Amino acid sequence: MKTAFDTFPELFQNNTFMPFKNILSRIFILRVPEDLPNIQKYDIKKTVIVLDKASIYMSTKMLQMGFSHCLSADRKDLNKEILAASCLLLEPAILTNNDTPFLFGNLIKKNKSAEGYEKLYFEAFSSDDKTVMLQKLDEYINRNPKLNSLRDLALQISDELITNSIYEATIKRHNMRSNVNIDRTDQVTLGKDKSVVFYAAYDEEIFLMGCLDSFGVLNRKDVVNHLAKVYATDKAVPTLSGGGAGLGLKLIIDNAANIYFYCEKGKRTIVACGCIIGSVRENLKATKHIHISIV
Amino acid sequence: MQQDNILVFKFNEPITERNSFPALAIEEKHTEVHVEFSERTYFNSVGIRDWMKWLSPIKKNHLVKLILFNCPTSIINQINLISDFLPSNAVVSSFFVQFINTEGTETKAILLKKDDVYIGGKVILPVVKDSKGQIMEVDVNHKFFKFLNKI
Repeated sequence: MKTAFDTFPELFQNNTFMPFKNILSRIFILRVPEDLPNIQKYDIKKTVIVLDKASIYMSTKMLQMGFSHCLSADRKDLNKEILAASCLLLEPAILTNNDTPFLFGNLIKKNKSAEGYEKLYFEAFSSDDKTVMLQKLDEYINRNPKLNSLRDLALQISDELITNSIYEATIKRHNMRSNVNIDRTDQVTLGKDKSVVFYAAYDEEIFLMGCLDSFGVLNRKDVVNHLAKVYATDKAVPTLSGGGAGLGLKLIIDNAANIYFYCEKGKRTIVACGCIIGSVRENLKATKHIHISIV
Repeated sequence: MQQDNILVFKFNEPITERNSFPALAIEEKHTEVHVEFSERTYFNSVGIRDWMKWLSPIKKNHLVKLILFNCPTSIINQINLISDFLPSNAVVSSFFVQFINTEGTETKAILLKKDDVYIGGKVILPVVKDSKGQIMEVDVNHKFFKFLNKI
């Protein structure tokens, strides 16, 4: 078994990573498929999966076994994502206690990559706020030409993120998810003093969009099972009855390059995803990095 | 001028839970249903579900042909990825394809007619240039055009 630092020494030579050597040296890398015969030796709380030929199917299999971070070996940002996964396993506050959780530019305090770029925040109190939020996002993209090519992807992703946050994550009393079975055509309000916050930000490489709520009810098993179901076949099958169509997560993952689920039970949930800045094609064809972290 | 045998619907906004679909009242005289999108139309997950429900009268009526015009890239992606997004009696007549310059700073959505670009089982795309006269690349994934040989 090798640590992250020893498995990929060439990836962490840059000074950016040196402050995190201590973290990277305490996390193990399980490479798929080569390390699979020894899988039982790995502690799921200290291991990051790196897949040589990543697919959602294979990542889901690893998530079902209890691992939390499945990364694609063929991506240029593998080093950053290993660091993100390592932080989430050992010190999640590094990534999550800032104004734009999961944006790498924020991870490195002296790194200026995320400075000077505009950020967008929108607080939603009801499902009706989604229209305005999407307008604000559209205007934000217009003001930042680097993001223009990603407009359609970003609007679709953000539409699903905020819908999921409002309908799936909210609780009213007795910790019951109160809106989950409500038809998405029905308007809902989150209740007194309750809201979800949508944010968007970017650095030199990634355009990140996320939703943060203060409920903290994300269930890891539900997410993983849903992933397994949606990606079991080549073509997804919508649910024609019930609250939602069951396609939101697929639309998010297909359109993005990275996805992060983070939940502090009973306190807050952040679901965010990153698109590679550049072409749409790059994002659609990207083998995905998936993080599901429940603390 | 609109012909009596054709029903025409236009969708210019994102298709989501906020829209209500118009009545799809197919009569005996109708042989075609035309759906025209705009470049900025997209479906969210609930929109996809409601769209599929809306299309059920066409699915059941094989005497009627559904023809889609001006399909944005995102809708073509959904045709490729969502089961039964379109019934078997549907055809895409025209669709948008995004092109991007090499620096990634300029994009153009070009409307293509299926009959102009899909010839003899091959996709032949036009040459598109950016504001500096440089050739732009097509910005879709390699599976994008697979819908052409199915519908």
